[in-house]
Amino acid sequence: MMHSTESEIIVEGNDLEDALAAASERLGVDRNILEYRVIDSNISGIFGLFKKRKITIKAWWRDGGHALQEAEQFLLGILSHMRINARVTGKETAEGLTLIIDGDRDGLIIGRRGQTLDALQYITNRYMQRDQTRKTRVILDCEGYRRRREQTIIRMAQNIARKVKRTGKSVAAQPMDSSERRLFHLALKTDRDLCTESHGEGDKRRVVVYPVKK
Amino acid sequence: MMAMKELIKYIAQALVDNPDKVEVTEVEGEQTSVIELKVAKEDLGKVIGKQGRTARAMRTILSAASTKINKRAVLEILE
Repeated sequence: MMHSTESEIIVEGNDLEDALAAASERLGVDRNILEYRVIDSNISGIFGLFKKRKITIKAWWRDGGHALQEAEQFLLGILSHMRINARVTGKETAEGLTLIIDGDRDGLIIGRRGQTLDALQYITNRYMQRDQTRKTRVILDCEGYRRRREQTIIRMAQNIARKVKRTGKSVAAQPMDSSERRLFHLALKTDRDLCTESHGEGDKRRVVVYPVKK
Repeated sequence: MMAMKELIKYIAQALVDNPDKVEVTEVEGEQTSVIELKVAKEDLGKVIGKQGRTARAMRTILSAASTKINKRAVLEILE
């Protein structure tokens, strides 16, 4: 099965050739394997005087599934060092590479409130992005944990929303990472009686729900 | 406990620019083992990470792995 992964950059140049040359240099790959899309091209100047051309392209290279395999191998390596028997199935999704772990100790792999799964995901991302030109994003899941967690967050948001409306006072949720906070904000986005904001730094950052005074 | 040491070595070597400069030693105590990680100076940021996130992730993985063998292991990064 062939997989492909994009690692894209946006570059400017005086013309297409120029922009492609810059892209190939920045990505460190031969320009023959570059693919690109023109984002913006304009000619500025008055009545053709001082004519200056500029083109902006988005460029990426296809690496034929190398990234997916690399991520799978790396993760399997960690799991085997943890003495966990597991299978890892990878697939490409809109959000990046998704690796699904299917093992004999799923509880251990997930950890309390998903912290082990998050740690494994973080390390795998650091590994995949170790040379800064690659932006491959990896998502790990185990036993459908991510979806269950999604539902938990939406339920939590709804419970807090009810409490805020009942008491007329703001309520802070427990600290969550950025993707979870995003879900939380989205869950209450359409509610006009409330507004949500994130406060705090680092791993203490949490969503606070406020009543909207009328 | 050999496994804990190898686990940290595997992760650290994958993240740094100088994998041959990664040294992991283990100081074994009765209930707790201390895993000491040493990397090239320019690679310190890679094993610590922004706001210490990489180090924290390694500690989380280490403690999950050591739960399995009922012994505590702590990670220390030497500068």
